[in-house]
Amino acid sequence: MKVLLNELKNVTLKALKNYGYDSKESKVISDILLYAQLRGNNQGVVKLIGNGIPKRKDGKRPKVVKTSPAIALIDGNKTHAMIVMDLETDMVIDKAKKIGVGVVGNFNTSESTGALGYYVKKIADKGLIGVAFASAPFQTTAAYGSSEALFCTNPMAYGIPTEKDPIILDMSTSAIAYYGLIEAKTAGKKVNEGIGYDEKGNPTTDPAKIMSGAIKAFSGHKGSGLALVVQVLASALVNADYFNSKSNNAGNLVMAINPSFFVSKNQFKKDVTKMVKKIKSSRKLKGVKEIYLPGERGNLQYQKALKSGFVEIEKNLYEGLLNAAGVK
Amino acid sequence: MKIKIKELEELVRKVLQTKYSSDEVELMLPVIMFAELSVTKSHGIVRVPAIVNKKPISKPEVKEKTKVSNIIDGNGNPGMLVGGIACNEVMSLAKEFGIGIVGTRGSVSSSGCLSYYVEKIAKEDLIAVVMARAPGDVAPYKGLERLFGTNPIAFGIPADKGPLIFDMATSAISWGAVDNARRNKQLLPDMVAVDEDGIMTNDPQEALDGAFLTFDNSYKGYGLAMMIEILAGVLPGADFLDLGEGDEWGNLFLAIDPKTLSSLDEFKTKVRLMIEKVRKSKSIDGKDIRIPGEKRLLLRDNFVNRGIISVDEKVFEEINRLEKHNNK
Repeated sequence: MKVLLNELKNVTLKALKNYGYDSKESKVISDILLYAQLRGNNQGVVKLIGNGIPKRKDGKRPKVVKTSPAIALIDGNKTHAMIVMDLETDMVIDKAKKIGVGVVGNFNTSESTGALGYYVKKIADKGLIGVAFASAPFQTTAAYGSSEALFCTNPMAYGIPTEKDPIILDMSTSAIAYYGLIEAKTAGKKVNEGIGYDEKGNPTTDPAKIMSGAIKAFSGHKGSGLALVVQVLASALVNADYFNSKSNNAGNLVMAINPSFFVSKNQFKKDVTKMVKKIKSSRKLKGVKEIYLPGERGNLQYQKALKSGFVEIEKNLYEGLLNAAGVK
Repeated sequence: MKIKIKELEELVRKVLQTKYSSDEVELMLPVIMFAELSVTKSHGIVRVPAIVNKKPISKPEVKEKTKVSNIIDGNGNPGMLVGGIACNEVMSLAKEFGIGIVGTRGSVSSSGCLSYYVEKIAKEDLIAVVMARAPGDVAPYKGLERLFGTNPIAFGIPADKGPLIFDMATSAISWGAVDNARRNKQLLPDMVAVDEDGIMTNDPQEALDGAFLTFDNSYKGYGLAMMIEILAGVLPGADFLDLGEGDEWGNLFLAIDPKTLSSLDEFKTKVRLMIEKVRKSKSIDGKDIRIPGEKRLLLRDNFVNRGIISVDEKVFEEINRLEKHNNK
């Protein structure tokens, strides 16, 4: 169904208010959710339906517990993960501007960080290269050759500044994002074959069964290796828990590199733009009209929504959101 | 033919010494031997004649960029020498400042097996990420031009009982494997390459005329291949998409001291626990789950213990001749 963009924004903010967030916090979370929603990414307002994301009553302000010129570690103090990761993003931008590189991690958050593309785009918009990893002790994904959920969906993202839109690669290391399963379940749809197992280890296309079983890591042993690396970097390294669905101690890691400390900033952007042009104009497989850059299709969808003022949203999902906002 | 590893090493040392200083030889030799012993023969002693026959213009230069980053200009030297220098540089930066980033450009050949470098760095209790861009073989998703190199990325993570090593090409197959299949008149596996019309092929010659695919034949692998082209090509000022003149390789070396974020002992214990948990997770075929890097290191360790290895006779003879000729 079609919804007015402004209405979607208002309803999202209302739902967040209902979940207990103040207006500043709501703004941050809403920006991150709508970044995804307007780009057709499944890390959007689906997070607000059902149990949603009630603000944790025992949450306190995030605190920097370790710091050096290029690196810092934050105790999230049970503040919402998006707010903590947004703070980390600002910190790495600051560090990378000063010293050339910044790495900031956190532990002690429990919610999903949403689309990592948001954070690396924020970094790339400042002319810096952004890299982000997110993990959680929540077990959804099996290693290659296994049907036992050990890893989280462990996404990673890269943001690269160009002379125009930044290139944003945002990918889970699982064969489908967890919210892709929730979305399919909400819409009463099956998922593609070869994505996951039920509890007994049998292949299934039922999203609910995969949620109680395991998602596969993407593309065999390479995807599985990447899943393991992300779990190490965004949990063990930052003092968060791992492989324990009962734990509320999740972690993330954000990094920024300042290209002007290697080549000149303009040279970097110029060269990446040259690369983009070459890729876009390269020969295509039969029947393929366009080779898209990572994040490009999402950006097109976003611009379309901005221009028309309308957003296409799945009906059950929107009703869930209206419920969460208490307007229905 | 079989040969004592010590003898082989001595021969390679002697032949390299005919063109390079002792310091330079001791940087390249272990990279070459690592590949030979871990049965990544395409980066082993077969590379020696080209390294010896191609005389570099001048010595590689280390250019300090910031406190935590350097660029190494290879000045036409072999990638294994430039890589060896970069590896040492990044370790000393990370030990002093908690993090180091080193880019390389101007190498005229591959830096070799990235597993070698990340193992070396991780054994010094540092987290390593190493990437390499190479001349183009791989088409973007839905394209059919050879734009990206096989662009590998490797991670080394310190752990109890030895580091976790994960080394993957972002291509579905390496150039060496395709070339090998062509010479031995063998077919390629399915889903690794397309011919010049974009049709899937198992014929190595058709694959060399067409393009290789990314490891997943999808947007994630394509995105990763592009990120490596940017981070190990554009960022250090090396070539990208072969838009420059001649073949040029580039690298990015990143090392992080885990002590900046965590306790080293705790971190290493956790990583080992994670590895063992993955290994013993519920298996589909009843076998232990494969841990990245272990097979390669085990092969290497077994050869080292036995002290004897089989090498390609033709390659060995060629090196022998070269040594005699150059030392005349």
